Amino acid sequence: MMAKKTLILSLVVSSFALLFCQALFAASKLNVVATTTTLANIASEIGQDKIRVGSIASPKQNIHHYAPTPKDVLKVKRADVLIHEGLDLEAWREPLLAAAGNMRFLGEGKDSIDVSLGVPLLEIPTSLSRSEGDIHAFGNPHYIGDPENAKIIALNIAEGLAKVDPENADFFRGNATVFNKKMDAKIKDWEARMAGFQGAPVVTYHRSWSYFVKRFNLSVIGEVEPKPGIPPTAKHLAGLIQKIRDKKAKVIIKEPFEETRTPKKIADETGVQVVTLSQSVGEPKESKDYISLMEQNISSLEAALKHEGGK
Amino acid sequence: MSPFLMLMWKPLLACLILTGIHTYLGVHVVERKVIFVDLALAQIAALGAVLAFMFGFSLHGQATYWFSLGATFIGAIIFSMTRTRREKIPQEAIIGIVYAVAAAAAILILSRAAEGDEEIRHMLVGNILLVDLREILTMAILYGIVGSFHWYFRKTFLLISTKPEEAYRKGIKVRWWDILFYLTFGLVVTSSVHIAGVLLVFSFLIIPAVGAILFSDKISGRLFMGWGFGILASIGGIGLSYYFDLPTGATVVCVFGGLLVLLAIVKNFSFKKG
Repeated sequence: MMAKKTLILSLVVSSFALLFCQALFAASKLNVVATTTTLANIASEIGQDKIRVGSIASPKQNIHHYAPTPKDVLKVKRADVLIHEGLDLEAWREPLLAAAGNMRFLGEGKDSIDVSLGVPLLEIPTSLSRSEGDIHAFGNPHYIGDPENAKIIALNIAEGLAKVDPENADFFRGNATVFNKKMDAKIKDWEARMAGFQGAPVVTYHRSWSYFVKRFNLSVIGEVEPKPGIPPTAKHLAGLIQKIRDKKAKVIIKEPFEETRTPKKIADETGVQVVTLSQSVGEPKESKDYISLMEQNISSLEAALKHEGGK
Repeated sequence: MSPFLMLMWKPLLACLILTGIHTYLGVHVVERKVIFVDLALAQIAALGAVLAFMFGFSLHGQATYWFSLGATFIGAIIFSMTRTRREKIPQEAIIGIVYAVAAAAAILILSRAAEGDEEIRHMLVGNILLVDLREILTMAILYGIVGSFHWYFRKTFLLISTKPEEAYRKGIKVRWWDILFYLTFGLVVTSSVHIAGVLLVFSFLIIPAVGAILFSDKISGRLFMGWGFGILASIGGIGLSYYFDLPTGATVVCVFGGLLVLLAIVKNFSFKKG
């Protein structure tokens, strides 16, 4: 009886000790929160076992309009470092930071990493007029679609982490170099595979692929939306269908959260292929990291561009 | 402070303030049978904001607020002018028409803008989880003033809502009081919708009042029951939203619905027994 009691007691004590050790161990890691799954993935490549990383927005939704949950507020509250895409991509970022009240990210935000620093931005409006579709005051924020920009992001994250945790600065910078080398090899491969489609006319749903098409020399002949965020009108669709026929476009690029009815209608009329490409790691599920995500995008696009057909 | 309170005290406080004013206004709205008037006024306010937006003002700026307030006041005047003593066209029909036309007009104007569509949806959705202290204070002061005003003139307001015939007979200028009612109502709804969203505001307005009608015929009884009901649903909804990590506003609305079903069952059961 006594032995049993001792056994139970020692089990309880040791499991508490184990929990305590785990807590201690966990506490020694930097607690990093990224606004998107893609940033979280790149951050994990840079920080590896020195950080614990979580993300906020679901990869299944339009990043502009995510609605944070209580757990998201808690994540930001407890985080040591916040990584975000800057500009006005995450429309919910400021209210979320205010609600979390974590002094590290308020005001000057000394422990937040804006990965857009140094990214050559496209479509910066010369005069800000909402009626012309210039909702993005700082330029097009979908720069993560260009794999070259992923390298800038990696460097920004490494520098940001190094500032908060100077002891591991070399580790972070070293990992960024490794990541960027991997990216260089991949970009070469992707560019080679897309080389056969130089200047190929494509249609995108929203203006979220500007960086991607520039990298791979495709030419966007129109958008399914007449203006960013405005649903297509009859006249616009008729014009777009005519353009697709005239320029012999083969592909409509849409993101997973964009509706399929309109692209499908256009496809039925013209025989173009609708391809769903993603900029969010984890959507589709098989894209476990940024490289496999882009790999999948390139493969789908390659297949669609090779497809013979059209009406 | 527990992590729950640390995280949720602001939304909870906001919900309690909303309960305070909306349960009271809800009792009026249900009595007047103008259930959807808040949706129509919110839509008109959004239309006002769209107009400001088209004139180049920022969507969250001061000018836009005055535009949407101005639009709401026009709506308030429409609703008070369309109520007649012997009504041929039901008030609900007017409310429906105003809602549909305001929503359509907003779409028309926005078809010339960019991403405004989503911005306006935001205005009508709100996010109670991310409410900040300044918004809570503004709400408390504004609703305090409106509440005191209604408290001071409670007899007239209640008479017109519950027994309009008697009010007309007594020679009360019903139309002018109606304008006052809809003006104050519009002021409250516009501010609430911006913070909590259309769905949540509608629930705060109607569900406590309806739940209380099940149990009480007296206005004061309904008011106190409604407040209790609202407080319970707020705490329950905020709690569930925290523990299961669900969108806060939608959880509170569903808790309201669930509680109402529960109340109806209890009522039915006790009625049969009695």
